Amino acid sequence: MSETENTKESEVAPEPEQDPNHDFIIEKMASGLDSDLFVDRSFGDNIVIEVHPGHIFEVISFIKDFHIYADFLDSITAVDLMTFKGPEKDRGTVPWKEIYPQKEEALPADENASTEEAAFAGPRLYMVVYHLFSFRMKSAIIIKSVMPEEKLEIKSIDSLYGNANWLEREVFEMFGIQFRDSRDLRRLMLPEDWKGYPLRKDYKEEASYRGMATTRPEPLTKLREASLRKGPEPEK
Amino acid sequence: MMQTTNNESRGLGANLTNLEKYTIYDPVHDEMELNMGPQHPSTHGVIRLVLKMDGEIVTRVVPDVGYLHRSIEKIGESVTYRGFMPYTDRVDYLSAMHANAGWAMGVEKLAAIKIPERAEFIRVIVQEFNRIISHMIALGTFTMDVGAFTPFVYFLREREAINDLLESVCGARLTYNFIWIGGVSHDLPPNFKEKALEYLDHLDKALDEFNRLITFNKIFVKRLADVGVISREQAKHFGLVGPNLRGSGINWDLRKNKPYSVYPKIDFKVAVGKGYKGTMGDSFDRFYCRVLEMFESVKIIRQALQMIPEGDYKIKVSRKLKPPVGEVTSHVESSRGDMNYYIISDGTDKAYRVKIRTGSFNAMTTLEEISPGMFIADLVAYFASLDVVAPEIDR
Repeated sequence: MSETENTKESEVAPEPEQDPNHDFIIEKMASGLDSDLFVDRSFGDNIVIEVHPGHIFEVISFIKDFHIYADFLDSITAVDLMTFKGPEKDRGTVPWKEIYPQKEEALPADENASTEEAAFAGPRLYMVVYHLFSFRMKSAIIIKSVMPEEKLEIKSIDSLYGNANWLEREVFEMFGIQFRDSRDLRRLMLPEDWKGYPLRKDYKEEASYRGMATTRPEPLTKLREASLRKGPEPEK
Repeated sequence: MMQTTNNESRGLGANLTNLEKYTIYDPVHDEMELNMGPQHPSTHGVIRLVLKMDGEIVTRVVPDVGYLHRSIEKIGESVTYRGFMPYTDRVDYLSAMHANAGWAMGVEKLAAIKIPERAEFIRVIVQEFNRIISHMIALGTFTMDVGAFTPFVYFLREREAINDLLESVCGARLTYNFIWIGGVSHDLPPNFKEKALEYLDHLDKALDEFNRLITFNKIFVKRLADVGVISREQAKHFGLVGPNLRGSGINWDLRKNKPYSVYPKIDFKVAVGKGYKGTMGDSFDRFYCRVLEMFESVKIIRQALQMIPEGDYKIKVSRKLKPPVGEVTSHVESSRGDMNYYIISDGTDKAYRVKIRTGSFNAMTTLEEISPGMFIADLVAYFASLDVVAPEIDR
């Protein structure tokens, strides 16, 4: 491996600057929508906003039809935040309780947990991430929405974009997130009798599927053991 | 036989919406159901289309994908950043360099690594070569679907020479694992520049010959013009990218509009469809955009070979690279469009979530809307013009 010759330690790339359209976009959204429907979480050169799952359709149709004209849906994806050791803001601890005192809480809080335990304790959260793009402004907007496992549903946006249906179907079959009012929420890639949601962090596949074993013994194990062993093969 | 999807048979026990109303295998009187099955010479990989037809006219297409699902996104959570690079080759094996570059650019942005300029130029050169050979396969199989078998073999012969060039660089002909995090894995061999320039001169003539034989051939034009027209708004509505988007008249190319790497220094034109032989946004436009892109790639490689500086070709990156907590989206203009890598890192040496959104996935969503009312031969031509590869859809 010629890694030590002809190479040097890595230089640090310059910090990415803020997207020039960031201020315009946030200002237009604040003027058109209720200010408590979204929270600005932008960092680096990304424009990120966080929205409560109950208001996703309203926010996305605003971004699509007015001022910003984000008419291109790049992707819809989901993240299982069960074992995420990131900072609090990526775990969606937006104080929805204070913003919506009468409405249902997005995060039932666990007052007895200490701050260290709270990193892993507490409700199991899933984050749905929408990537939108606006050709007019040449900027991408990332919309995140965090929901607990008890209320794992969100309104579908397949009436707004043509490719939303397939993207949502993939998220549904991999994570189990229900998309309400979707025109067609079937499985996309997995067989019809597959059990479980594969991309979840605690997914364990069955031992066999339709009579076929899903794991096999490592083929090199016997060879490796034989080469390490000095004597003849032990009697079984 | 009517087969409804049933909650219990899915083993989910979840309450699913609209499922009871949605049935696939529900033949109506006088309607024929044809299975364009996973093994088919015209479906560009293992994709299954269930066609419901009235004679020769297709009334509905139900795609059934997932035959090539290898759970690459799940694997991304259990291997290191450097170890994931060969998996990205297999996401789109026809343009593996682009997939490698997308992953490398994403991780470099996360970890704030800056790579030397020679590595950037080498990346551009191999990526453009990869674009040429990917389009050769796309156009070759396109003509094969439409009925002309020879151009495919012509292109395979041209492709062999480029495969030899890329093999001299990295040792592999299809899945390269050449672009690494921090640069490229090996330097260009000493006589690469002469061989490449000599080959590019030959390629110009070969592409002209292809144009004379196929592109403006009357029969070919009649097969493709006005077939599968996608208007500008529809192209944006379905999230099409790459030559599919440009064929519908939208002048959007990541290398020009959101440039990355050293593309700002290189001068080239973007091929946009404008109804060359029919309506704007038909299959011929998409086909011709790919042909023009091959010419532009030749220009780019010539300029890059001239401008390439001396220097290091990679930067030392630890095998257990631990980028800081954060996330990044990295876009790369691959031969099939804009490939989007969304990487979330939680500070350990393995990614927390990897999402790869490929151009073919969005292109498949247009099938159900655009195809009703076409003849089945037109459907084959339209499907081939989208340049879909199965591993990109299923990953």
